[in-house]
Amino acid sequence: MLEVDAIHTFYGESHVLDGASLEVSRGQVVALLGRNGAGKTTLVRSIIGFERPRRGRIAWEGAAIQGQPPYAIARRGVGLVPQGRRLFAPLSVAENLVFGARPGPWTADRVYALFPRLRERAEQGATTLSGGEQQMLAIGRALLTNPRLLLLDEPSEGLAPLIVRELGRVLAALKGEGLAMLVVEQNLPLALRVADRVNVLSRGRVVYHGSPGELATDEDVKRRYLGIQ
Amino acid sequence: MAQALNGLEYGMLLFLLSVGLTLIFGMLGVVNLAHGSFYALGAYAGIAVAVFTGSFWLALCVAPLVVAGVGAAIERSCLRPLYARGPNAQVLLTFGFIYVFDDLLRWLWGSHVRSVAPPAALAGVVALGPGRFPVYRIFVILFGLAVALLLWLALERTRLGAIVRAGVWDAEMAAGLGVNVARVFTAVFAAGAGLAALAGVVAVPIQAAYPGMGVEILVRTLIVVVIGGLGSLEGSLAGSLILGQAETFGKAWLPDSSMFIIYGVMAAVLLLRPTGLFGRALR
Ligand SMILES: Nc1ncnc2c1ncn2[C@@H]1O[C@H](COP(=O)(O)OP(=O)(O)O)[C@@H](O)[C@H]1O
Ligand SMILES: [Mg+2]
Repeated sequence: MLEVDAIHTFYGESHVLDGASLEVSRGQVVALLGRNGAGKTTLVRSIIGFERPRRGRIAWEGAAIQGQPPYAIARRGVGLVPQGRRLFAPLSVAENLVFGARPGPWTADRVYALFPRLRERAEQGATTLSGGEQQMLAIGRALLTNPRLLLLDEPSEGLAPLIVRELGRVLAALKGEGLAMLVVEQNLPLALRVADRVNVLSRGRVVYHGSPGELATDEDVKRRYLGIQ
Repeated sequence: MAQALNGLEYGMLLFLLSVGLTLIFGMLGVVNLAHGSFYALGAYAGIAVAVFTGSFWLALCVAPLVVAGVGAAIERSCLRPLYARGPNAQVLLTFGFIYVFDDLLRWLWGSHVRSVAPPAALAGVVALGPGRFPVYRIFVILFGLAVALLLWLALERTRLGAIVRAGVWDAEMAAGLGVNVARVFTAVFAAGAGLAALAGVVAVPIQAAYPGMGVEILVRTLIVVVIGGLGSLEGSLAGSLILGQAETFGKAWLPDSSMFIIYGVMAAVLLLRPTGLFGRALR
């Protein structure tokens, strides 16, 4: 459903994505791994339309979407949980949640059922939540746009181990519903647990792709591209 | 007492101007230097409508709509192509529009001071303690408060308001969730221009209209925005009331150094709160 085909994305003259390619099929969970600065966030930003690749093609359900404005890409069914969460601080929890709501199976009630803490705090400012709750709100906000593909950029970043485990359960539940996801992660165990396919990005290129099982035993790739001894 | 009310009335004018400027800056990232020109354009358009139709109230409705339309056209045709280039090009462009509008107003209406009387219903004065106070100025105070309340409700209680508040915080993220921010940018810019024009019409019976009025008020408006904090309605109201009082009392007590007092107030606020009263640190 999503095909990123050899895209080159720049910030000014700085050449960050150097022919990166990957694919996500319907209902599939794809992990994107790589060191800090490899270009993972830039790849996510290129898919949602925040950056326009200078070369290459991004196809969504068969149609080229590179260069389209972000709102149009989002409305086609791409949901975004950005790095750092980027909740709207001036808005309440409830306002954040329904901010981009579009009709579909996901409703505010379903998100509240999944994250009861958000209902309790619905009227509070979004930034009064704990880090874990903020992450759940960012996920809920994206789910309410009723996407067919969810982009998650380092959802476990800055979370305590216990919360990361809960996040893992949430991602597994979403996968169980058949939601396709592209998950950028530094947390290798989490990524290996939820993903069907794994891509490793280094210096703006996908240098490895395989199944989680293959990567788990590939000490060479783990050492060279993920810094794991 | 009368002095404080004058300050309040002047503060309300500043509020109508600064609230648009601060929201435009917060959302679009553009310091719209032509904002004072919208004020002047509103004043002159209001005079034209009032003279032509004989109705001040019609002028109060029509002139802001016309100027909002002008604002929308400028945003779409001139500013929008420049967003990708960062703020400098846009600020320069709005600076250019100061001269365009200045020439336009002089060409259309000449350099004379023009005015219209307040509507009959608001003419006259009321007794206020030992002194007397023009009814029209009381109307301006109440009108400003009503607009502030309506704007607050629109921002805090409507979906479009939530989009504007979110857009002031993080416009890119709002777009990433499916909001066509370009359209909201145009709407905010037009609304800001319309409010500035509204201030212009309201000001005419008090201060008359003259070609330099836009630039003169722009400086004050920028100071209000800095005092109140960028992108905040509450800040714009607080800053306007403070500056309204400071300038009015300054003019009464120290007529030669009222500008000095205005800058002094700004410096004092910035020393205490570098982001302004209701501002937040820029990310
Ligand atoms: N807005 C930007 N302007 C210029 N360079 C950037 C910008 N954002 C990221 N970069 C650079 O691009 C490279 C990739 O960054 P990023 O995509 O954030 O990596 P990752 O998400 O894998 O850590 C880094 O070298 C980073 O410094
Ligand atoms: Mg990143």
